[in-house]
Amino acid sequence: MKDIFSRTNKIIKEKNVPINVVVELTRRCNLDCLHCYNFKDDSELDFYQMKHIFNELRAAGCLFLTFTGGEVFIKEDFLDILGLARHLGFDVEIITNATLINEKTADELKSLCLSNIGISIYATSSSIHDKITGVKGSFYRTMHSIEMLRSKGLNLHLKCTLMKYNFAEYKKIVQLAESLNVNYIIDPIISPKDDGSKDVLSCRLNDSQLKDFYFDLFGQIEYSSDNKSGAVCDAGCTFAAVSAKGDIYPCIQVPVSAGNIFEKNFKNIWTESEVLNKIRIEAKYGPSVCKDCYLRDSCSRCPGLALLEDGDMFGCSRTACSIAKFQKCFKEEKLKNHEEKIGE
Amino acid sequence: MDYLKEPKLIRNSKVAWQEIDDAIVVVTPWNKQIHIISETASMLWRALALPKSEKDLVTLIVQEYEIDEVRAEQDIRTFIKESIEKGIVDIKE
Repeated sequence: MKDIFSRTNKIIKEKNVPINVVVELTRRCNLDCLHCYNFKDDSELDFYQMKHIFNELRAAGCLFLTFTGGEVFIKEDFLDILGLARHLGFDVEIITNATLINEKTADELKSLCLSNIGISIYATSSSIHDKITGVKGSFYRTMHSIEMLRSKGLNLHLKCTLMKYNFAEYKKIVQLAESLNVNYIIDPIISPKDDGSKDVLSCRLNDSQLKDFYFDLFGQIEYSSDNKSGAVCDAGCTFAAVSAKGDIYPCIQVPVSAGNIFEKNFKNIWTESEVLNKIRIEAKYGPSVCKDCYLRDSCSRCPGLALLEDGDMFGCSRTACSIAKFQKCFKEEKLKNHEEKIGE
Repeated sequence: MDYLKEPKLIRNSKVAWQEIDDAIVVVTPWNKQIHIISETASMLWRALALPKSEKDLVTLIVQEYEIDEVRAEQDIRTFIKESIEKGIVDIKE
């Protein structure tokens, strides 16, 4: 059985099957978060456009679909779109702020048997959360939905972007997730906006806070001496995104269009795009920019961040560098402590 | 046994799935488990888009692979048992 899993996995990687696709269904949102990277416009995909997209993705080998926004529940036909996706055999996950989910919607979501619902939450108190979302009452609406969805047995996880306004809340979010018995993702990376503007970077944690966060995180991971933790990015290889205008991106974090799904067949875009093929060569042989870097084994370079923050998706990412330095420093401190203990 | 009274099997409509080369990758979203159906059994998965009895599946596999019926019955029973346990196939009432 293990053989058939690894063989299938190998085929997916070797043939660059777009098994994971994120769909940006709409750019409209009912919240106005301080750190949001999104374009602010009314672009969105309707039911018939989605039907076309689903057929193209299905034929190309996609299995895992994630719907994101904007806020997906702002679209009145969202449940119909979800129903179609499930009917066609996709595994579906959604990312939402959950403020627009009522009891009836929750029941429908339950019947659709979604794989997971990721819910954005930034604090355990309304004063901080609402300050970040820019909408008074959003915290209570999100919390109400979390409790309702949980009581109905839906699979959830909490998503918290960590920034200077909610740094003190980070451990409380973990406690909240544990008390609800749900998973959580805490992400301290604030990305520049998709239009290239960098105003949102002022929300970022300072170096000392980032170091504290990563040292805490790395402390929960077991390292062996030969552990190489540099993550391999699947963007453009087995991972794709469809923007609210139908542009095909390597990832939702890499807003570089390889072609538009309403102008050209997805399979052709996926196989013929120059940018995607260049990404695949970099993924196969390792980024050329990292070749001689001493941080290579600790680095999880994100091409989207490298593009938006530093201007070149194939170049160095200063944020990834900082994190890699924290990781290297953490490992060295741990090793030193270990050696001191042995010496005692 | 009266054919119409034989229990029929069908894919569980709640699962997600995709063909990757000749295999079928099936996901059970409620427990996030991934199951892989081999190239040989993928024919059965395709057939189970519509209700089929155990006998229908045996006939199908005997015709396709030219194996004897006793062996085919054993293989089909194993496939059905495992598929029901995983929740990827239902018995249609």
